[in-house]
Amino acid sequence: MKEAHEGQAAERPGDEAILRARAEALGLPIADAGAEGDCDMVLEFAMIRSRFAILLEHVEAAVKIGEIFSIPQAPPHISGIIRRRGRVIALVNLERFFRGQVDGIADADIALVVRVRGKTFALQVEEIYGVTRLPRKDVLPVPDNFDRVEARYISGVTLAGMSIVNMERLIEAEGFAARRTGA
Amino acid sequence: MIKDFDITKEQFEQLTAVFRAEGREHVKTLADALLSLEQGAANDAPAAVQAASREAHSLKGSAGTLGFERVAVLTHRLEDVLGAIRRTELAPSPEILDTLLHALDAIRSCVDSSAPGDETFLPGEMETMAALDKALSAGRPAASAPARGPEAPPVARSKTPLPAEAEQISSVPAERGGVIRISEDSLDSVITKVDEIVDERLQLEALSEELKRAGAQAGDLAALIAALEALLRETRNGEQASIAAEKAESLHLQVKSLTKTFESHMRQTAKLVHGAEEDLRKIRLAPVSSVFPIIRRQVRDLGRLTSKHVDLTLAGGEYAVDRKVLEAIEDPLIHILRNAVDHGIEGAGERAEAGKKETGLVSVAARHVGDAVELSISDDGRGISLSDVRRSLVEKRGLAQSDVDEMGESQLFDFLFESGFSTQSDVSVLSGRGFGLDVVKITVERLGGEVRVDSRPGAGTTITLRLPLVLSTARCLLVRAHGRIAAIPASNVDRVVLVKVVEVRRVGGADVMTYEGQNVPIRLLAEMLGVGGAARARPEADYVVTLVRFGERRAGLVVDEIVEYAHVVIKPLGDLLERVPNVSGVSLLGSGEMALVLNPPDLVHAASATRKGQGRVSVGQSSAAAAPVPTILVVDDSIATRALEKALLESVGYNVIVAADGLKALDVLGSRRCDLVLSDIKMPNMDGLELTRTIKSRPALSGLPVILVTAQEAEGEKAAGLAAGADAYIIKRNLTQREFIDTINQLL
Repeated sequence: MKEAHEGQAAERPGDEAILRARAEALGLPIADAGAEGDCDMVLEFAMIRSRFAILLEHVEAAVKIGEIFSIPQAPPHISGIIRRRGRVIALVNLERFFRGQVDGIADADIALVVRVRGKTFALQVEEIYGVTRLPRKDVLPVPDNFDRVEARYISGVTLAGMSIVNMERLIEAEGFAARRTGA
Repeated sequence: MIKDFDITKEQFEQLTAVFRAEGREHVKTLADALLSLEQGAANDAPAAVQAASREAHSLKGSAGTLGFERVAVLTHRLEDVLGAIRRTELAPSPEILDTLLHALDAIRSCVDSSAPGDETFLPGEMETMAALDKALSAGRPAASAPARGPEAPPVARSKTPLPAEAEQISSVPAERGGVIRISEDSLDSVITKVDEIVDERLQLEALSEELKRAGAQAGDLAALIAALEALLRETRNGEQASIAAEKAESLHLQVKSLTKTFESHMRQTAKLVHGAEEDLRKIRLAPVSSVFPIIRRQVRDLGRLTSKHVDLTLAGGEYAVDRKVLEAIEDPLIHILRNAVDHGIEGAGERAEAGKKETGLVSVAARHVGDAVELSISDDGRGISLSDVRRSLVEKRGLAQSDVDEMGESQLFDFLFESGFSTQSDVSVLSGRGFGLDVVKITVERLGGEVRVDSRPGAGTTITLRLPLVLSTARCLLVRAHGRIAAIPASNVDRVVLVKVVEVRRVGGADVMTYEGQNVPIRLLAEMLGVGGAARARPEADYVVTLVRFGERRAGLVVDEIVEYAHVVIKPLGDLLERVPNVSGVSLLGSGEMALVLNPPDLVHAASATRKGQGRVSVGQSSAAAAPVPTILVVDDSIATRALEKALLESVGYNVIVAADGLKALDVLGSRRCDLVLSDIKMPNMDGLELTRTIKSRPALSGLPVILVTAQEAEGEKAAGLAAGADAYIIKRNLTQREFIDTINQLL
C-alpha cells in the first residue's frame, strides 16, 4: 500500500507546486540569500505590558512552566528556578530586571529557555506571538522616553512597539547573574 | 598514520580526544615512575625504569599512529634516555631526572595543544630535545652519540613495538582488559538522563495517586449503582440496572487491579533507577592516590628549587573520592605544598640549630570521616608564628594592636585565608605574595568542604581539607522552616537540641545559647533565609535548634521541625545563580518536594555577624500581645501568579498556602486554619466567584476575608465579585507591590 501511495504521489502533476505554495503560505518566509544579512529571525513575546523580541538563535525551547521554586536571597528579577530535563534553570522576569519592582501581575506561565554565551536560563513569558523575520531597516533607535536601565539592554524598537532585547549585553549586565567572587 | 584509515571526521575527533586523555595519563604515570626511580631503593630501580619505558613506549606508539608527530618525536628522545638508564650506560642522577621531568612537562603540553600532522616544533620543545640529547651523550662515549636534529628522528608509526623493544616490554600485563574509555561529557550526559528519569518517575508517582483517587471514585460509583440496582431490581428496568451495576463493579475492580500493577511496576522502577544512580555515581570515583604523582613531583621540584632536603610520606591513597573533587583540589594542593616547603620547612642550618633532622618531612594522609574524606598536609617545619600574623595585621591591614592582641589562635589563622594576606616580608618565586590560601579556601568551600589549620611554633603546620566523597550527593538533615524544607549537610550538623525560651540570652547584641560551656549565636533559620519574619507561630514553645558547625565555629539555627536524615542529590542553582547567600543548591526529594540545600559556612558566618537586634529569636515572645503569624490562602490556576503572590506575601512575613482552584481551596479550608483568601476569578473546576459564595455561605468560614484578583478590569465582573461577598477586588495588571500588601494588611 505504501508503495502505491508513493507511486500515486509521484505521478500526480502539480502536487509539488501545490505543496510548495501551501508551505510558503503557512511556513516561515524562505530566506533570500541576497537579503540574508539585512534581516534577523526574532521571536516575539509579551510580558505584562511590554512586547519584547530576541534573536531566534538564542532560543532553545518554549515550555509550559510546571512549578516555580523560589530561591531566597536570589536577585529580585529571578522569579525562581524551574526543572527541565534533569537540569535546574533560573527563571528571569525581564520586566522586573528593567523596572526594579513588581508592577502588575501576569499569568506568565511560559518559560522561554535561552542559551547565551554558554549560559542557559529562561525568560518568564506571558504570551508568545511567534517567529518573525525582521528587516534591520525596520529597527529604530531606542526612544528617549525609555527607562535608562531598559534602554541599555535594548538594541532598538520596531514601529509596532516591540523592544529588541540585546541578550549578549543582558547576560553581561551587572547584577543580572549572581556570580561567584574571589576566584 | 590516521590519515591512512577510512574514518569520519567525528570518529577522528573522538580518537583525538581519547589520545589526549590517555596521553595525560601516560605522562602522569611516567612522572610517578621517574620519582620512584629517584626515591626508591637501588633494587627497585630497574622496575621503575621498566615502568617508565613502558609508558613512554605506549605514548610514542599512539602518538605515531594518530599522527601527533611532535609528541612522538619528543617521547622517542625521552625513551632513548630511559633506554640508556636501563642499560646502565647512564646514571639516573637528580640532574638527569630534572631533564626527564622537564621533558615530560613539554610532552604534556604538546599532548594538549598539538594537532595531528603538525611537525613544527616550538622553541621550548627544541630546547627539550637538545637537553635530552645532551643527557644521552653524557652516558655514551663521544663517538657513539651522533648529533641529531628534530627533523630526522625515528618515529614509531605502528602500534607494534620494534623487536628489541618488544622483548623488553613483553612482560606488560593486559591491564586494560575489559575496560572501555568514555569521555566525562558522555558520562555527565548519562547522569543527566538518569536524573530526567528520576523526574519522570516522580511525575508517574503523582499519576499513581490520581489513579488511586480514580479507583476510589469508581468504587463509590459502583456502590451507588449497586444501591440503585437494589431499588430498581423488581421494576421493568431491573435487568438494565443489574447490567449497569455489574459493569460498574467490573470497572472498579479493573481500575483497582491496574492501580496495584502500576504501583508494583513503579516500585520496581524506583529501585532500578536508584541502583542506576548509585552505579553512575560510583563510576565517578577515583582513588586519592591519583593525585599522589602531582604531590610527589611538587615536593621534589620545590625541594630542589629551594635547596632543601625534603622527604615525603603518603598515606590513605586507597580511599575513593569523586574525580571532580580530586581534579579541583590539584591547585590548592600545590599552594599548600609550596607554603610547606618554602615557608614551613627550615633550611639545613636552622633545622640543625633547632635540633631537627637535616631532612624535612612533608606528610600527606587521607582518611574517611563520616561522609567526607580528610586530606591532611603536614610539615615538620617552623610552624606559623602567631606574633608574625599579629604584626602583619597591624602593619599591613592597619588593625589596632589591642584588637589583634585579643584575637585567639583560630581567629588569627582565619586571616591566612584572606586574599592578599601574608606574613612573609619577602616575596619569592614560590610564595609570599599572599595569594594561594584564599584560593584554597574558596575552592574547597565551593566543593562543600572546609579547611582547617593547626600549627605549633617550631613543630610544624598541618592543613586539613575536609572534602565531600561524592560531589553531587550528600547525607543531609532535612528540616522545615516557615513551611519550606531545607537540607543541611550532615557533616556540618553537630546535633539537634531543644532550648527553652528562657535559656536564650542577649550577649553583645546577639541572641546566644550555651552549648558545651560556650556562647553560640542562635537565629531563626526562616528569617535568615528571608522566607519568614522574626515571629514564630508558637512563641512560647521550646526552640528546636540545629547546631551547625563550620571549622571551630558553631551557630544554632531555629527550625519548625526536623523532618529526617536522608541522602539527597544536590543540583546547582543554574548558570545565573552561581552564588546565592546561604544556599548552595537544591534537591528534589522522593516526595516530589524541592528542598533548599544550605551552605553551612555562610550560615555560621551570618549568624556570628548578627548585630544590633537583627535576627533576634526572642523578638515578640516576651510580649503577651505577640500575635501568631497570619496564614493566607492563595488560589490561582496560574503557577507564575501563585509563585509571585506567595513570594511577595512571604517576604513580609505571612505564612502562605496555595491551591490551584476553588475546589482545592475548599479542601484546604476544611483542614487548615487560614486568615485570608486571595483568589483568582477564572479557574477550572470551581471559579473564584463560586468559591467566595461558598465561603460566605458556610457559618464556620463566613467571617474569612476574601480578596478577588483578576486579570482584566471589567465593571460587570467587579460587581459580580462584590455581590458574591468578596471583601476587596484587585486588578492584576494595575497592581503595585505596595497596594497589594496594603490591601491585605487592611483586611487582617
